Amino acid sequence: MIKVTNLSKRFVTDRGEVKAVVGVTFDVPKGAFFTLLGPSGCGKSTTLRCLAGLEKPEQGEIIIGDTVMYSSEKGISVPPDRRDAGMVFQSYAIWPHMKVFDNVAFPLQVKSKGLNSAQIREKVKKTLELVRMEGYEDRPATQLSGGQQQRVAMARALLQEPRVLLMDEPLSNLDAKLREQMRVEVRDLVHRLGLTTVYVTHDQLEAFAMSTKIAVMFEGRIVQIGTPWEIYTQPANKFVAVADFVGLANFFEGKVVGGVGASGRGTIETTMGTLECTVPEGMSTGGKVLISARPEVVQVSREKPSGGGAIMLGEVERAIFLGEYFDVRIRIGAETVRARLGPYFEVKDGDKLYVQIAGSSCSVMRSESVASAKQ
Amino acid sequence: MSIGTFSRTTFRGWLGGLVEPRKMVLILVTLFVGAGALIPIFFLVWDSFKNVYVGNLFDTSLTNFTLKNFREAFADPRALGMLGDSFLFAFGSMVVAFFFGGTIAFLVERTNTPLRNLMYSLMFIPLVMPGMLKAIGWILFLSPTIGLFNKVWFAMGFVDPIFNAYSIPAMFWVEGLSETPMTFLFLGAALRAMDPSLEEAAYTAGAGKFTTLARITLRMMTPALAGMALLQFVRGIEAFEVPLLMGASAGIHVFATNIYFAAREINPPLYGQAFVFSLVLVSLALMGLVLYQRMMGRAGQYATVTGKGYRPRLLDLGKWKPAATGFIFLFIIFAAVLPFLILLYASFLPYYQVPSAKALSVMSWDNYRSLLGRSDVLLTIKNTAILCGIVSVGGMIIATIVSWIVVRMRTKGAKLLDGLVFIPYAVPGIASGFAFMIVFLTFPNPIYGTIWILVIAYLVQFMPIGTRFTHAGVAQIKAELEEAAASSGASLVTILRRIIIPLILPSLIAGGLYIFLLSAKVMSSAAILYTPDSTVLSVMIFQLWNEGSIPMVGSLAVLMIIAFTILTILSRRVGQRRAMTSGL
Ligand SMILES: Nc1ncnc2c1ncn2[C@@H]1O[C@H](COP(=O)(O)OP(=O)(O)OP(=O)(O)O)[C@@H](O)[C@H]1O
Ligand SMILES: [Mg+2]
Repeated sequence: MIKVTNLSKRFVTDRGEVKAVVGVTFDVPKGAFFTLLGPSGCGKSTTLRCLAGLEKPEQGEIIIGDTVMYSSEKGISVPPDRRDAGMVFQSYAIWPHMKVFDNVAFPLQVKSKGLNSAQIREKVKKTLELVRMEGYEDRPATQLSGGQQQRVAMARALLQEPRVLLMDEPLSNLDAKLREQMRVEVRDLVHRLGLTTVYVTHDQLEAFAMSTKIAVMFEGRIVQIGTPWEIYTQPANKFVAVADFVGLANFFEGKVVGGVGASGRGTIETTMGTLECTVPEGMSTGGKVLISARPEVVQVSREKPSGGGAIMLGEVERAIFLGEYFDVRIRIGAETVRARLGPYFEVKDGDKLYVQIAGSSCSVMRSESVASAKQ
Repeated sequence: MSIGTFSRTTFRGWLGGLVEPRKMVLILVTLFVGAGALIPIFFLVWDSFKNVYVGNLFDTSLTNFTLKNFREAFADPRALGMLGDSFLFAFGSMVVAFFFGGTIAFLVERTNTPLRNLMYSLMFIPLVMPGMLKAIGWILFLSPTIGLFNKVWFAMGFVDPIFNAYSIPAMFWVEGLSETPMTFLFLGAALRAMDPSLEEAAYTAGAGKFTTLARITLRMMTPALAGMALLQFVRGIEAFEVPLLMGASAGIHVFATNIYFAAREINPPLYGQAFVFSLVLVSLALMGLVLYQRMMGRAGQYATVTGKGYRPRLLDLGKWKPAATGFIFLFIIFAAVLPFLILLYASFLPYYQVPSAKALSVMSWDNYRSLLGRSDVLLTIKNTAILCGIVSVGGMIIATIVSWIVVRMRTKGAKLLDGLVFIPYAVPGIASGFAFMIVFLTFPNPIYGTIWILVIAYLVQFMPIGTRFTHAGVAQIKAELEEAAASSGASLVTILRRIIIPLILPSLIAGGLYIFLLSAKVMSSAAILYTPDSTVLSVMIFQLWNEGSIPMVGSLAVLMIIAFTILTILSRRVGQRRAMTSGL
């Protein structure tokens, strides 16, 4: 439904040139919920605004449906009002001089689709019902709470029956409770309507809970595209794994020492012991790798466990009780491993504990890809 | 003013505290503000209902109230004409100011007009030139007899002049040009305060450029536009210099010129009428300002500044780009370049004549030489320097102290002071000048007829302007910064000197400069209060103009404009450097 190829956009400011988007390529199938996830300033909004036609990229191609919306090669640039893309803004952009009704009905009023005013009324009513704002038609826009403004903004975008729905951090101005509730509501609504959605957020949980596909962005580039599960369990490089918005991870350096077979599994020697893991494609014996293990897959026990994987004895450097769990740092030789222990483990600083990491719950990436992501 | 303002301790404790220099300063400033704001208003109201004449300026009896002044003022058939002319003039100048100011603000903030970013610097050029000089400059172009444009017209074979400088349209043309920079700055700020995503939301909802402009941008701007229109209208009603120079000789009168003639030119003076016109003028201004405040409240509701402060999508003007830049420069030419050039030209002539080969051959520096040799000119320059220097420095000191009281002491008295300091804003210069004249004629004093009465009148008149600069600055300083200094034993004066003033220095410099220029440019209260010993430059230019010595006017004007320009550039430099080093 949406096809973006090699999109680039830079801004010239007083302080010099900012490369906001660099060679971004992705595909969004019909009905998908596609999320751009990344830290502040990585170019998510700019990418989305290029899709909407609010920014003009220097390079690349944007196809929505089967219409070329932008192409630097063919010299095509369709203005935003003719892209048929509904947009929900971070600030909601509710027009303060209009009532709720006029805010929502605006798309129909400016693009006459042959509807009379009774039909428009009916449509607005239906759409407001969808976002659970029925009966608010005559409310002045200045008298809405943040959550209500958000719903009105959604309704306005939905009324348009757009080909694609674009949302730029639509929930970030809501308080935590409401945000969690709206997350589910928004996802269910767009799924029910079968809308193709591109969603921008810097909130990992939001992205995981809502998306069918996530693209992780960093400094203007997409560093990984995958399902939420893939992004979490098989981070493509250290950046994706370590950045705050995709959880925490322990990293160990390692070397493939053998056994890369058809199954894709190999034996890897690390400072933490020897592990059996799935290695990246095309990796052969002798290749250097980086292994990441999430804190929650690190097994900890007081007695030496049986079974395979890497088993090491370490000393608790620091244990912080966080209610749901203890956040523990365990020193093993020169390395420090982070783990999560249940609240009843009663761990304290200085305890001697066994640490076990199973190869099946680690992800392995090439050392080179780490270096390249840092540039 | 309640004595509880500054101390909640017992009366004896308060009396003891009075001798503290800190409290003395606060009390003196409060007294000055209160007296300056209220006494003129009191006189305007009181004397409007009394039979006043030379020798009986202040009738203290509680009887003897009369409507005679009102009857006489409005019995004159010309009074009605004056009302009509005043409104037409004010409306016309508002339209001109909106046409230029609004268009330029839109071009600069919302389109890709080339060189648009220069506009904020260019706007200072017309601001440096006093309205009076713009009027004189334009008379030299539009006068039916000596106007350059008409001379060209005659040369083309026409007999009747095409322009008439001494007409209401010519008057509001010049006044409107003078008011354009303010309109531009205000509307530009309002456009910038608008959340760009409000327009973007309209685009993505399927609205084109013009629908968005009409249904979103313009509608969002409506309160700001209406507020500004009202403010410009009030300023037009209050205008003095342009109607005096361009209208009076053709019998076109407005409120301010009527007051001036009744109080100063007619003999014996018609004080009663001057009071009545002043009172009506103040009431109109007050009503306008109250309405304006209301509208700005609405505008505040609409101004939902969010996001990262990037500029919104700029409208692509395409092939109209050069025309847009041309329009902006055309305004600068009309508002500053043309009047300046003709004054410059006149300044080199022995007597005024339109440009010709003969005129070029007689041009010389003689006017400048004789100007600087005249003792009355030198005295006037000295007077003006004293007036502007004291009013700008003193005005900013008073403003700082007032702001400090208003922001720091959240008592009822402080609120009252905040209101008092705003009152002179509703009293046009000509009315306050007249009120001060009566006050100082009533009570025997040594300063009537000296420059000091002007100093006091200007200090009061510009109080609201000074505090506009200092209120925001002082509010930004956290109270802890001062408390830290006070707890280490610093007195109020030390705190002001070492903490407050350095921190708000950029706004002090900006405000001081603004008041300095205003004091030199604005003639209104000076026109009523001056005497031969206390003449200032604006008055002198008016006198030279009345004597018909246009070349002298030209040379004095050129010197004035050069001095103001240098001053503006210097102060902006200093202000910016201080702003950078103090991290504000
Ligand atoms: N109109 C603009 N002018 C100049 N620079 C811009 C403009 N818009 C974005 N940028 C810059 O481009 C980069 C990417 O900005 P963008 O708004 O796309 O980031 P983002 O990922 O959406 O961040 P956030 O999570 O903070 O919204 C930033 O460095 C930003 O400063
Ligand atoms: Mg963003």
